[in-house]
Formats: sequence, structure tokens, C-alpha cells
Amino acid sequence: MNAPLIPASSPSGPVTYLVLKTGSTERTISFYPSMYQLLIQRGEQEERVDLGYAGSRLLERLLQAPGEVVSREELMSYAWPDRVVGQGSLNQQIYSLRQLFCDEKGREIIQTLPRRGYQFNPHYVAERRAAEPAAPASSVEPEEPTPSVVTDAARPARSHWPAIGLFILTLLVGLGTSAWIRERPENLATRSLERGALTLQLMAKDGRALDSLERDSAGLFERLASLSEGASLLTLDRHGGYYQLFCHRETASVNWLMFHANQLNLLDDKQLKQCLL
Amino acid sequence: MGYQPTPTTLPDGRYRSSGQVQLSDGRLINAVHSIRFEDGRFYALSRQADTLLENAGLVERDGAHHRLAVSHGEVTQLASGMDNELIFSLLYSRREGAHIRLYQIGECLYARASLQVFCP
Repeated sequence: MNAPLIPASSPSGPVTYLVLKTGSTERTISFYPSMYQLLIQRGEQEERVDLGYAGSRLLERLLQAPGEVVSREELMSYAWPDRVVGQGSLNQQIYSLRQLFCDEKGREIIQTLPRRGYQFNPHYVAERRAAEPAAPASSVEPEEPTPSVVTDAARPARSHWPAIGLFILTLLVGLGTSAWIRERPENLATRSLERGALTLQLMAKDGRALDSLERDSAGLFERLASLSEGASLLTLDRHGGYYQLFCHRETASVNWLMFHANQLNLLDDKQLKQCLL
Repeated sequence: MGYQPTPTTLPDGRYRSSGQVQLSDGRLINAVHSIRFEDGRFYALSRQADTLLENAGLVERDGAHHRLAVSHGEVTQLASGMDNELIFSLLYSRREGAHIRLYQIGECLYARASLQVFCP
């Protein structure tokens, strides 16, 4: 038997990631299991996607043995080790992964074996890398110029020229960085949370904003989970002082509810139910 | 479903949606968003309570997304008591040169900067 592509427990040290092909020749995916993230590359464009714990573990388990069928029960216990979830949660995660791999129609990459489980098609595994690449999270977080440069420039005992040179260099880097900030594409990070049959997808500009959104919306999520009947998928965004809640319908259309941030805990059940319809 | 960071085909035809907005003072207003895409251009009309926003321009490719490049816009009536954030979004959306990126949510398009949702 071949050595697994991903060890069952990732060792500490350099970030290990897998390069995976997708259903589109223009698109490749790097999977960082230890960070629960995908880095989607399309030409010069890069997009970071936060899979969340369950989605990442699901993909990780499939990639431990590409070409080998993994039962639904095993996938569910691996992706949700500390709780029991319904089949709908697994179906939803598989569907989301297929979308990211441009595989929702062909189903060539994550293959369904009726009554047996799922397998990851080994032809779509490009390579495994254990080098230390630029982690996806850091690739979108520009560093601020350090204040120590100013301190050095003001120190009288030394020649001023190195400090001035450093100051100019920092200024140029700062200007370049600010230009880059303005021009870089606004890639949104996502995270999926689950309560029973309800999946809440958060979207925000980066991981820190996701953390904040997850923390702030915990109460709303509990309420929605108690009001929801059957499997539901929701998407939540916060922008410009407002939350935007999208309730997905089976027709792929959405109901939406927008509310000011200070109304987060003041929404009526009736409004939430109307969205969940 | 959900937010899909995948490239989308150039939108075409008419999209619309309606929903409710709960303002900072707890008032609930109805909102309707409508947009028509045709030959790389867009024409959009939004109504939030008594306020109408009309804008038009070009649809541009923006990496994995599309964006609305506003060339003309007008807010015809600004209801008193609207939240500052909503007013800002409306005024930004009518400004010539404004760029509004579209995110795909299910089959709908979410204009995040202007807080508008358009569904086929």
C-alpha cells in the first residue's frame, strides 16, 4: 500500500500542502490541511478560502488515500469527531467542495460510489509539497512599516545617511504597499459553521474579521438553528455597519434580510422565519 | 450554493430581489433591487422605503469577479431618518467612477459595497 499523501496527524514544522487539479484547466488549488484553507490560483489571481474544520477534515480524509473508497460513516466521524451530524451535513460539504473544484456537474474529482462512499480521483492530485511556502493567510496581510525606523533616524550619535536611506526605503515600501492595498482584489474569506442540519457560511475580508463575525453572530446562529425546519444553508456578511443574511432556497435563489449591526439581537422570530422559508 | 469565489459568466438579462431592512432605530423598511445587464452594460434601480437609487454603467471583469463601473447615478428622494451607512452606500453607488464588485451568492449577485442583491 502506498504511503498516505497526508499523515493522519500533521506533524509540526513546515507547512505541508497539496497541489490539486480542478475541473477547470485554468484553476489549481493548494490545500493546506493544517490551516483548513485552500488557495485557489487562476492565472495571476489568487483566492484564499477558509474551509472550516469539517470541510477541511473531509477533504483531508479523502486525500489520505486517493482512489480509495471512504465510507460515509467514516467521513462523518472524521470530519465531525465530537458530535453526531445528519447525512445532510456531509452532502452539503461534499457539494461545497465540488463547487470549489469546478466539479459539481461532472463529479469526476470527488466521486460518489453508491452505497459505498466517496473517493478522491488520484488523477487530480498534482503534487505534495512540504516546503515552507508563503502561507495563504500572510499573502493578503501587508506588513505595516515599523516605527523603529523613525527612532533610528532621530538618533544623533550616528551618521544620518544610513537612517535617511532606510527612511526613504521604508517610505517607498510604504507607498508601494498602500498602492498595492488599493489595487489588490478584495478576496473574501469564508468559514462554515454547523448546528444540526443548519449550515451558516460566514464571509469577511480576512480571518480576523471572520473570528469577530463568528463571535458576534453566535446568538443569532443559535436562534436560527432553533427556528429552522430541515436542512438549511445560510450566508452571513457584515459590511458598512450592516449585516446581510442570505437564506438559500432549493431553487438556488435566496431570501435576504439586512439589518443594522445594533439590531443583531433585536430581530423578531417572524423575520427570521420569513428568511428561512 | 453559498458564497462561491468562482468565476462567473458575464451576467445577462434582468435580475431582481426584494427583502427587508431593519434600520438602526428598529424601523423595518421594504427594499427592492432590480438590474438589467445588456451588452456589457447595466441599468439598476433600487427602492428602499421612499428613496430611489438609479445608476448605470459598464460591467467589467475584475479578477474572479465582475464589477459595476458606475458612469451615471441619481438618488431621487432621500427619506428622512435613514441610517448614515445606508445613505453613504446610496450616494457612493450613484457617483461616477464608483466600482462595485459583485459576489455570487447561490445564483444571485451581491453588490457588497452598495448592499444590493440581484437574483435571476
